[in-house]
Amino acid sequence: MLLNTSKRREIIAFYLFLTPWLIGFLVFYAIPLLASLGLSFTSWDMLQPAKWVGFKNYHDLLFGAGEFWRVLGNTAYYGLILVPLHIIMSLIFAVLLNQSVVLRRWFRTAFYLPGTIPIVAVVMLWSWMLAPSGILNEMLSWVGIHGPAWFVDAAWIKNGLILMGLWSMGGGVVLFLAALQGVPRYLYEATAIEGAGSIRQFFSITIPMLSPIILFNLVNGVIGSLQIFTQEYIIAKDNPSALMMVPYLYNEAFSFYKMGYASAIAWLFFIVIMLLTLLVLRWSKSWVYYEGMA
Amino acid sequence: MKGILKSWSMGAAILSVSMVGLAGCGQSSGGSGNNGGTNQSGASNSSKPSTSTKKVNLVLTMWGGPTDTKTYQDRANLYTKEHPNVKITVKNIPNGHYDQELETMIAGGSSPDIVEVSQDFAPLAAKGAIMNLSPSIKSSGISMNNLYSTGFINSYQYQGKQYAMPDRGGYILLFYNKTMFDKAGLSYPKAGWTWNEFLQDAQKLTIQKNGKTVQWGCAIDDWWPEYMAFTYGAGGWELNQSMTKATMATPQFQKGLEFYNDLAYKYKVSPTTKDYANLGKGTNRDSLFAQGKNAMSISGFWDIPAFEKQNLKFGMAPLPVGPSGHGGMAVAGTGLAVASKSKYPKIAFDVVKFMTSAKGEMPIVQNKEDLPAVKPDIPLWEKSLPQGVSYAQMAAAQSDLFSPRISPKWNEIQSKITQDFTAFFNGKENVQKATQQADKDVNQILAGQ
Repeated sequence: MLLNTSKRREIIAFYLFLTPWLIGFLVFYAIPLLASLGLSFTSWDMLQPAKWVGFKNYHDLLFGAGEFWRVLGNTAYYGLILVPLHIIMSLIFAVLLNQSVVLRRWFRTAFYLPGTIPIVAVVMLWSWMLAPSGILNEMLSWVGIHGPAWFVDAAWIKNGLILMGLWSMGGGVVLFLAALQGVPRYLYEATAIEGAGSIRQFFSITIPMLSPIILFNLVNGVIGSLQIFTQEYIIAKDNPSALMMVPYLYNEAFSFYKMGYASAIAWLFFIVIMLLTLLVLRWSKSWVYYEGMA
Repeated sequence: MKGILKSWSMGAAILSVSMVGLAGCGQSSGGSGNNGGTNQSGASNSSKPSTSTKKVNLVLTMWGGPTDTKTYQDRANLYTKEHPNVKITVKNIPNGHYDQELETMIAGGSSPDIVEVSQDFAPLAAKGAIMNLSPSIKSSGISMNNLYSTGFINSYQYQGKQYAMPDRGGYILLFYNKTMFDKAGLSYPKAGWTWNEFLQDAQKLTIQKNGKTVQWGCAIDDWWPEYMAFTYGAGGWELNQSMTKATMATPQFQKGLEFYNDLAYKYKVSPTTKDYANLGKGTNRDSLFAQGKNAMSISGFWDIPAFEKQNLKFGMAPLPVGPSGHGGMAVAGTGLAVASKSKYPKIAFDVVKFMTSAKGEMPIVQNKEDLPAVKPDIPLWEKSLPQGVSYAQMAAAQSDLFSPRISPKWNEIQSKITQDFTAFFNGKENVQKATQQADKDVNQILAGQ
């Protein structure tokens, strides 16, 4: 098959343009990924040669002292409460904002701003706000509730982290607001004529029309929030009731000289996240409506 | 013609994009000032410590603030003055991930030559990442006992071998606010004072106004050198001598730990963890003392510049004597070690030897960085103390210096102990349960891989 020169040039150009990204992908992503898979079957302290141990790391993690499961539980608690809460709240705020035109731009900025603040600053701010005698507990006491010690109380650290996460994930509102613009006006008008109230409209029109974006936020949220690191590391890395997967992995790898063990943790966690994502996607088939579908 | 130009410009564009992309790949974490002057092929272990003609570039890793970086560089430059062909690059690695970067550098093949170490020396020694210096010390005729206190020499020994030279000689002591003591009409703490006297002073120095404490007698944290001052003072240890078993659930250790925590919860002379949280994230004994909110603080010599800045009238005292008959001041200095994978181990040791000598430690005193470990320089350091601050009581209590038993699994063990003591330090668990759980967990770690 003789390709003419222009076609050939196009193909060469394609591969040439692809090469930088391909090299980056291989060097920073694919090769380290495979390397960590290999490392997960070894015991390696980074200073001496790696020792092959087969499935021992996985066995110890899954059936050993139970630390992996405890940490997984903490992480799941955080992620699986934060993400649905966040989506619901973002959706409600977006719908509310969709009503008023004047204040919309101001509120949109205000909601998005917390997400732009550096994480460490957010941690400082919230540690102060959630102090045992801090602002939040002060406000709770006005309605007669004695607030917990939040970050100083083992049972409440995760909840404090959830609060902090809710505040700083402002991007959701902006996304939903944009998506709402794409919902055809005539749908609301038509159903209003039929006598549908705004709540009925919300559940029967808004949510189905927005469901692809909701799914996007859900999947991204789950994957992202389960991998929380910075805030968790600063606040609670020494607290067993709040330790989460990535700080746990980080400690094992770099503080305890157990790189092979940590690699196994990473791969087990990858499997968990993948399973969760598949679950969400499988479930989504029942409620996501894509325009253009019959 | 147009076609060729087009393909040339396209080619140039692709090339430049590739360059940018690949440039990112080229950065390694330990690349700066790599040890590769001119190639000394093969035999880098020449018998002479410094090659007179070949240029050598060494890397020294350390952590700390700008003063620390400058001081290490000053000391290294003193060596370069006498050996112009040896250049030493000081690389500051943030304390939070010092271990991580060091391990990555060594594993990645760009090992530094000289490494600042503290407690983390034990795993490095056990894994052969730093060299055993005992043979070099012997052959160069250094008299360790003349130069350094026993406490410092011991704190860098593992299985009887010396793995680092004492560099900075800090240890944990007690600072007290003289103005507050004067106001309360109390005499200053002296070497040999007891737990009871300490407690009484703290009680008299805790002032409440309208139900809120405005001045604390002392301020305790969950940092191990602080509570170990009391567990050691009661005769307790975290591990047994051979470091095969945890010994925290013993009466002595528990007595010290309980007295320590009672300061906050029973005697209320120190803030509790809740109080600290209310005062703001990151508040600890040092910031409170600098703000003039507590009368006594268990900390290290690095605080002195901050206290000077606040114009505090402060004094230094040894930790009080416990039921065992002695107090306890944890060695918290640093040492200089030679990395095993260094390309110039003999030269590196020569540099270390110089930097830990009286001459090489002078910048530590001149820059007011810390207390030097080398004995001849200590009187000079004393002179640099602020007016009215005397070292006399400390000098009288040097036998109280101790180093905790540091196993190669120190990081993991301490992390576990901190986890297990968290509820106890939050006032939610008693000392028996906390220490029993800690023993159980630490024994598991000691028995593990």
